[in-house]
Amino acid sequence: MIHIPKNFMGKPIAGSLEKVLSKTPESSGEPQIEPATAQNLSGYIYVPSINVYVAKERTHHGLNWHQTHEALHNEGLRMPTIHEFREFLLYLQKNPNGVQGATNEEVAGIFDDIVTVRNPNRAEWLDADFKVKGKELYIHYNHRTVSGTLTPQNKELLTDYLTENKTPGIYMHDWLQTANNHGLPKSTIAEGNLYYWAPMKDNKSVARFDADSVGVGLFCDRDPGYSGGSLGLFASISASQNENK
Amino acid sequence: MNKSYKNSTELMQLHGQSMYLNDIVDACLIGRLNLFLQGDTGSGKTQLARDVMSYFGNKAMFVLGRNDMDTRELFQRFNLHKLGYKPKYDLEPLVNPETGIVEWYYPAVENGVFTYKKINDEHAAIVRSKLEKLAGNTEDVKELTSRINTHLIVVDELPNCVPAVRAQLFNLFDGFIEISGTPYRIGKGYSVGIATGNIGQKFTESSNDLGRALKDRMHVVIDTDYFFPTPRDTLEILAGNTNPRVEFSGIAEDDSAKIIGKSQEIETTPIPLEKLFIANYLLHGLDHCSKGSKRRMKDAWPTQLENHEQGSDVGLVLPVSPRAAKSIIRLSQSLDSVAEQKGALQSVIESNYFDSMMQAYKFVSAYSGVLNESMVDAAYYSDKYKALDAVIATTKQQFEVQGDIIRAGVEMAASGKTDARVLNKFTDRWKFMRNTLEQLLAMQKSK
Repeated sequence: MIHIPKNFMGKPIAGSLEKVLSKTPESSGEPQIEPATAQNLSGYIYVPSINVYVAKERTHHGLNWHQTHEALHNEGLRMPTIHEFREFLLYLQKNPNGVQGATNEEVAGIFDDIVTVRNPNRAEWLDADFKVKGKELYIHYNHRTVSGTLTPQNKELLTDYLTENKTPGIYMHDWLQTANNHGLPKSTIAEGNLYYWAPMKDNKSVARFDADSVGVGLFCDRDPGYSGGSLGLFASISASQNENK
Repeated sequence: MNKSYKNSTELMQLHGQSMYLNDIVDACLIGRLNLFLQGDTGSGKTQLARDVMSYFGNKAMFVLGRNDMDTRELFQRFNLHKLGYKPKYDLEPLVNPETGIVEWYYPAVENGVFTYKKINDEHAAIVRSKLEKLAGNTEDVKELTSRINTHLIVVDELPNCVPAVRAQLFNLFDGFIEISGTPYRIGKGYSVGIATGNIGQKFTESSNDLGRALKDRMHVVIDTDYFFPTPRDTLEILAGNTNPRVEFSGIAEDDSAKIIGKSQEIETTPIPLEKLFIANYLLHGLDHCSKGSKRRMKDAWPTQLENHEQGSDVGLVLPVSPRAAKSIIRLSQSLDSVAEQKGALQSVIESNYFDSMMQAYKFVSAYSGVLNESMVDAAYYSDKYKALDAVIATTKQQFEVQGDIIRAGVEMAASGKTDARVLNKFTDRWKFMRNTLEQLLAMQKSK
């Protein structure tokens, strides 16, 4: 005989049904962006060019793309876009002697963790969902939880980007310096060792940055339903958002 | 217990209590789970096993693995009266603890003390001659001895035995002995086995016969080299005694009844729903991959996974088997019980069932063949426990994120009404929860 408990993992079961169902689109009222909470920014690096704080550590391992968004939004955080992630890397690369909130050793450690070819596998989700509209490919980003539903705040036509895979690769320095406004490499980019998988027109591809013993790459063709122990993200928070709390 | 083995290396923190190797062994005993102690020669695993024997008074048996062994000898004696031989005593086989060889003894009383005496060479020759006349057909003169009531069987250096002998020993670990086609239960319903051996890191590979057998019969495997005694322990051991031989603890107070009572309590305690869900996650959630099912992929796992899955827990670990899932639940229940005995509050235990399930998963699965060996070598420096710690971290994150939805599912089941909005929230590796909750719902309705 199975006994139904009052608690599950230390939290009460009563009221969960209502809580979960209130987040479903069918029962939602006025669309509202879930409120974020003010963050302690000691574990973050401020990136001036984008006015965003990016975490110093990869967190939220083991979640798929959707679950990661949900977990982040519950904590008042968000997933960096490709553009923001690239700016973050560029900022680290340009400041090997340290930045505000991070020593030179920390900067070197984070950069190495993200872009060095070695084991173990490391990967981070990026906030970019590629969708086809008509015959054009759009990038959906800046996702927020609106009345319980993950909703992109920006849907923009992709232009001036490299449409073919390069395995390997593209020149990382060029990518960091000359990417388009969505953070994607331009078609004129020089060849190099950074693997690149172009956005797919399958309506079910999102972006990820991966590094392992074989190589490092920007993947724009990943399955959002996938999750893994080595896959997480560098959580971010807008400076303006945090100041308003 | 007479303890010669000392090890204060912490294996885990559970419910606020430090748990050591002795605690895990205790958990195996009260959970009636067979334990394999893997480790280098001289690491103390045999000493630990010998210490455990003292729990069971004279209802423990020590067997040194040998290739010419017939385990039936351990439980049978010849009724020499039936051979027409005087004096009328029966021979009982006993294992010489020094040599591991089966020798023949007869019961005797000396100065009012009951003892066993080894038959002399002359008697041995007569017995041999009488038995030979039966031309090998000795079944009529054989009887089961009281050793069939043995509760603990310790097999030292099990890997040294040839597969045929190992198979017999594994049957003992399953709790029965087969004699002339008839299975006899060992230990009157409670028997458990501890085996020791040093078979390296690769013994769970599917191509390895011993690996397969261990996977099937030994419920918990612990690498004693990994949890080596602290310098403080070894200082105490060395200062106390420099005898390099295994210490044979004397027969202490017989705690059999206490252990068996606790074991029965654990067997009859209802399993918390949370543990059942976690076990189902390990069985089904970990089976999920882009190809559908890792189990169905068979040998194509993990090489034919999508690139992005390799390097993650999808490529690192296979789902557990139903047998392993049972062992995990049982060990978890036993660990909770041991932690409670050490002072953990029941309320703390109930809030942290997840932790005891994950610790049980670690010690049941590390050597069970579910890990991708090449990935463990490459990414975790061949450290199976570290690899499983990574899987556990991912699993914890999964349950934390999915927590509200699971709780909603349980509340839905309790209400007796299916709600597709809740069930549809279980996707990807969590899809198994739909079916799980539907079954829970059906069970609630049939109440």
